[in-house]
Amino acid sequence: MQSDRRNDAAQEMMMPGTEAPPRDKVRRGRAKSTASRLRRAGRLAFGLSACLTSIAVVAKTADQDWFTPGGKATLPAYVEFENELGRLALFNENGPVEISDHPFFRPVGPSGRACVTCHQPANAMSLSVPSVQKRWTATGGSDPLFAAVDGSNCPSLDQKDPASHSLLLGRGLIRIPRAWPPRLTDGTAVEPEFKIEVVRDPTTCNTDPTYGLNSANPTISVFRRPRMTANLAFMSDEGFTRFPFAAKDGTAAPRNPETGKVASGHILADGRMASVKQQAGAALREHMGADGAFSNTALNQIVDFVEQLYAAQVFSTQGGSLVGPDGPPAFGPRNLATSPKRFLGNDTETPTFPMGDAWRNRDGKTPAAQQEYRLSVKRGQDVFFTRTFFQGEVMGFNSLGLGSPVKRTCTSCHNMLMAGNGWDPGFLDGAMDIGTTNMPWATEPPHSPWSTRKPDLPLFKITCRKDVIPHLYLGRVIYTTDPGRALTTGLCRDVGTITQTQMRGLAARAPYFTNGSAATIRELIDFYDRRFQIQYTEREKLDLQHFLESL
Amino acid sequence: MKRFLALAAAASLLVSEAAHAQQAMAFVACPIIRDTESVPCWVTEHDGETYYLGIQTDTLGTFRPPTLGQKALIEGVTSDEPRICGGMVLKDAHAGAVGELGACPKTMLPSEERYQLPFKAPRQPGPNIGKKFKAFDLAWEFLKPEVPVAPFGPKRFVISFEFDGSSFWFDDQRTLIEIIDYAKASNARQIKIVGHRTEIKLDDGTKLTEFEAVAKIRATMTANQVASGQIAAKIDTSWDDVPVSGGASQRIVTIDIIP
Repeated sequence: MQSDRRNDAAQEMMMPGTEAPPRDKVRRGRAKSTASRLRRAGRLAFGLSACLTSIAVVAKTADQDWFTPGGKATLPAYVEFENELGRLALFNENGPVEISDHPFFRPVGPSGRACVTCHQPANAMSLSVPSVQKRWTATGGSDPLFAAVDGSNCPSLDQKDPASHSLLLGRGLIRIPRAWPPRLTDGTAVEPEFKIEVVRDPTTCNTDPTYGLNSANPTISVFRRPRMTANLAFMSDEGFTRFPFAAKDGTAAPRNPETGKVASGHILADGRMASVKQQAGAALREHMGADGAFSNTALNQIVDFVEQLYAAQVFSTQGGSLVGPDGPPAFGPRNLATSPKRFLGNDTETPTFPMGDAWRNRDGKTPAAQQEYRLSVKRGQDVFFTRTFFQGEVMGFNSLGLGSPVKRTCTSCHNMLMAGNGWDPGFLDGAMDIGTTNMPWATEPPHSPWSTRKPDLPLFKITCRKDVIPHLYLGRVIYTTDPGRALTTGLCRDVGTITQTQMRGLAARAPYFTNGSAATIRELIDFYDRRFQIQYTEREKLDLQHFLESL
Repeated sequence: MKRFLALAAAASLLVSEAAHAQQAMAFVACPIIRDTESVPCWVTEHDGETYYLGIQTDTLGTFRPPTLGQKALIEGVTSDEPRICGGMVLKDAHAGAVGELGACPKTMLPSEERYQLPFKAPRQPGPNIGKKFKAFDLAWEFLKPEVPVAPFGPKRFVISFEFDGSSFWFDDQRTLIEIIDYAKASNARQIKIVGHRTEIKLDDGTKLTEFEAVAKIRATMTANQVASGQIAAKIDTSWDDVPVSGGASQRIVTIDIIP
């Protein structure tokens, strides 16, 4: 059972059946007392706020770890949610949000889904596998999350059988049906540079007579994690570039049809949507089955909500508060809100996640175990920022004239200040193929007489035409579990290219990578270690893990 | 007389060495990484000699490093400059990819004390030094697109490519911006874009010809880029399938703007 925590009694979260147990009353009292002392001491407002956060009031609710569409409640300006590694906080910069009739939370379509179904506050506005599994158990699979359209491996399967939802239950993946050949958002057909064949499909959807590649409406089904709908102020704005073109692939840069400006390209794994608004509209139609067009007002409400919402971990079970008055400026949603937006964080004056010298040395007052963890977090930031390794054969990075490999650091690609995704537009090197979906790097279960594990993702064979430039590092025949951006552009060079995602709230939203192939933060680190032969020491891995779980 | 002959012989030797020092080279070889304490060097070996091609840079660099494990067409001019990373310095080096990955071993030589860069690398292997919040502006400053100035007559722009390549590098964006700006400022009625491909004679006498479709790809991609600048001019795109004899300077797309 998760609980939400907040620092302002006036912004009580009003969930149905809210009832604070005795323990919470005791803690609320302590909070008031502490607040009085702080006010008397005349501390700065920021310090007050941060301290209160660390000793936040607990207000238990009837269903607070899962927001059901259509619920009547107020989402406070600041609210915390527990997770396995501590607590994550959401911060609504514009104040509390009435969710009872808010289009982000309002059910639409036959399944009764809302945006919040797949973008849960307790999961950093994404979706974690533990939450999905709990929801299945609690509802017997009847929650709108498990709707046949994309909450199962294929709509044609027996929806009462949990095996039909194995990718959602096991990896937190939603089915994304893509028309083949690709179509632009205006419906224009794209002539693909390659042929695509289904090599295997445990989900059965790509070979399904109704939903598959050879159906009346040829469709490729790929399976992807829902992305965070918080901290979008860092990536949804336009004007990233003064260039009107995607220099990487020779195509015109995507433009926001509403404003005509070049889009950021950071929305969705394959950059197929030019704006949050466009994405919201498409999601309402495709994931929720809404009839007709959603009103402009409702779409604007959704955009306004997600662009003022910030999410980050604020408390570590091992390291204590991450947002204390002397804490590093990298952590917590309030620091995200006040940070400059859309700045490159790949220089010594502006690290992607700035920590200064906080937590570099022992302070003599923090309890020993907590102190050791904080020192480890700081070392992890150093690993992230300055530990070099050779990065090679990454389309969208090495292919941009850098050569392959290059000696760089994590922050060379994860360089959006405070957010950690790529600073460059998603259609430049904000989108790249590091091998999470393409063979030979994609994670596959061992196949042997001694293993019962089976692959669970579909596998496609891509054969590039002879008259096109092949994929620089994989040639003309590529095996992939998700062709990524190539399902939008039809370009051979884009096979497996995925728009980088932000790095916040990791503790609240396992598993990782777009296909959920890393179950834990450690597995994520191990993937990079294997992919780039980094040869991290055990201590470097642990330090990096502690750093990442603090974001 | 003897003294004169000796001087003449010495002068002849110097001229010969100077000629050798400025010999144009074109050969296919496997690239090698020689790491240093700073950024790594790219070198290659050919006929018993090691050649230095350049260092790892960033997108603002002029040398476009190759891909380890893939053969490269090495072009450049030998020089008598002090060796770098153990290699004879090849000036104006190009290392375009030839064939697919896997034809070469991935040779990465570790850093050694004796191989130090004789200059400060413009970009360290990790984060930039300083530059708070200004990287984009600095990059833009680097590009410095030329502002079109009247009177506006016909004007030719050229974009060049690596062997078999069709990628637009960061500094090509300057040219593309200038093309778009000039077309707009001159109220251009037509833009003629022509793609070319090449055939180069290697040092061993064999010839290496670019991928058949590359002239078309270069031309159409350039046309897409120019069109995305939302200009009113009619864009005529064509390509010459017959390979032009020559090296790096011939692997181009020409863009003629006609007001």
